[in-house]
Amino acid sequence: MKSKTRQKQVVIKGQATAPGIAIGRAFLFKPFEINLAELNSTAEDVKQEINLFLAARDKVMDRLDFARKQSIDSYDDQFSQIFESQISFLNDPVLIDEIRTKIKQDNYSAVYAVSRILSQKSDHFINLENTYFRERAFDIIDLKQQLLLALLGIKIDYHLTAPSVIVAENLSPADTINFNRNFILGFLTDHGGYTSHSSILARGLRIPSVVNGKQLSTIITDYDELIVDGFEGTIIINPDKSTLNRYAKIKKEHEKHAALLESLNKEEAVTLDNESITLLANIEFAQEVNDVIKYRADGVGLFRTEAMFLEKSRIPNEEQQFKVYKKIASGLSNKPFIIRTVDLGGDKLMEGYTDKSEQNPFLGWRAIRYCLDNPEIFKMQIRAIIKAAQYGTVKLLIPMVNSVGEILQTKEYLAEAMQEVREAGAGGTEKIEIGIMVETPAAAIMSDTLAKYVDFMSIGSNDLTQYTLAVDRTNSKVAKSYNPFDPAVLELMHITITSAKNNNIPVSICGEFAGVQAAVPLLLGMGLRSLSVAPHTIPVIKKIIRSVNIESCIKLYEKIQTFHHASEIEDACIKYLNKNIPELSFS
Amino acid sequence: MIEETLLVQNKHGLHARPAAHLVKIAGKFKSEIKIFKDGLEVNAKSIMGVMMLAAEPGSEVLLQINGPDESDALNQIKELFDKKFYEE
Repeated sequence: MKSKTRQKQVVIKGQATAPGIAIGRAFLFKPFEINLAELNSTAEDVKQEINLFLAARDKVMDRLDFARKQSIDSYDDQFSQIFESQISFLNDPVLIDEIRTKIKQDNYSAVYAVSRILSQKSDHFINLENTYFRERAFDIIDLKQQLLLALLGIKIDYHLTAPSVIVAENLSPADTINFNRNFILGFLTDHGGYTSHSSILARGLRIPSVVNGKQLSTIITDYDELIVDGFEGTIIINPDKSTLNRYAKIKKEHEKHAALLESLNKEEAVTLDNESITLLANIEFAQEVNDVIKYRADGVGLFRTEAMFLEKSRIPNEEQQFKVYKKIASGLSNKPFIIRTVDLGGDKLMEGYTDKSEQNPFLGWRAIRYCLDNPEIFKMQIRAIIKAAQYGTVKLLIPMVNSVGEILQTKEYLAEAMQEVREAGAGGTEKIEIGIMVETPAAAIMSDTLAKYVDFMSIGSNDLTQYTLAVDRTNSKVAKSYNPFDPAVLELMHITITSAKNNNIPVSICGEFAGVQAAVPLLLGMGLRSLSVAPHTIPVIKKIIRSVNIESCIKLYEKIQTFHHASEIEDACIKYLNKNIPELSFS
Repeated sequence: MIEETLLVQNKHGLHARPAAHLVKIAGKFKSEIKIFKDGLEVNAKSIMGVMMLAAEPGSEVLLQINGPDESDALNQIKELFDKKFYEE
């Protein structure tokens, strides 16, 4: 191993494409660059060039067939399909003939003919609008590279001598599958996304993967110590000792978590005294419906629709939205699917739509306020939701409601949207449940009144904490005062839960607080029977639920009501967990 | 020579697998089988060609068949489109 002078830790953000934590040395993978200009472009002996080409084709075919078989054994269908389609290209008589003709008629060398023809094909695909077809360009580019390497007799060394994090500009399917996989700790690529080959493989292998979008492969060098956080999308180069320790701990937790998942997935979320708790999932992408099913959530308690708007920086049209909602609704097979209407404004700004000059954006033109002022956008979303509602149990959730007036105005728009869908003959639902987020002190205090106008309520603990304590948690000067365990916040949550109960409507909590392990017994003690959390946290939350009884949770809540400080309450809750579930050791 | 416009009705359009299915059927016939879409002309016996059409669900393609078994070929290909490539 090369010895290096100790360098300063560098933290970089990327996109997490497969969960998990990897800690290890970097292995920089650089694809072999073929310089076509240096190669002979004309065939000396046409017949020999054709034979060379056919031999290279057979060689690559064998390799692809092997990769396909291997991928069927170990990974999902998606992966073997890539090889399957590459094999079908090599078997395409028209394509093969085209290359052969190029050699014969234009006197091209085999390398030149392959390169020329396949580049033409990939250029065609890369300009297509549809993502699926556009991505086929990479399969063809990869196929070309493999044929050229075979023609030139070059073998690439994929042999890892030690467990490593693979760092590359881009990884082709063949590259990805050729590394000895027992030694792959994680993937870090400059290009790609959730559906790129290395991401799919990483999820199949249960190792983390992060895509950065920048030239990381030029910054990182071989043997650099790396941490890849596939939960948060964080990359740390040359981590310092305390960071390493912190991540080693997170990694251990994750492994414990994975073991828990195995053992708990089939169990129900019931307390020791047989109280059944509803566990819902918070999601923001259609593909996450797979996680909802994998972790056996009771439904989706919160579908955030902002990502759909923000990722393309334009308002998705009715049809685009409908497709996404329909996909999730159908995937959930009648389990509840709660869609929150778009929460734009605040820190979620859209050029040309929201107002970025506001002095207090979180007290400004956001969420339901923004929607009520933009009925075209609001009603378009509602229409898409109504139409999708025929494919499942879809409900509508309105963010940041403060008053009865806002609910009534929303209902008017809902009625209009229903009329419009009916007139268009688009076959939507005739009745849809409507609920509100309780995330301002006003809504919590007035929850008994608001409850009379809606079908359900959901506590948004993040904003409720921020607005109750008047603390911006992204402002480091005051962030330490942001604590959902604060007695003021808990009191407002309790008022909301009691109001829902008195009015006989369901209440849930969908903020981050529901996923805070120490908060779970407290929330049960306060009377909540439904929690909506990030899908991957479901196993551990379930474990907590299965380890406590409601009576003692109520006692815990009674006890903390005598405390005056957020920190005392939090400590008591952690202590409670450690006492009741020592095997998890919380801190 | 016969021609017919066909509607792509399967879930994902002419993705790799449905395209392979089409190519397999087209390959059984002696006739020359061409597909036209958006100004592009491809050979139905070529998987690369069929994929290059990037035919999405709801799109239309024009089929042109020329040869001794053309009506048979048309019927079988039409059935494949109508049965949504036997996907579901």
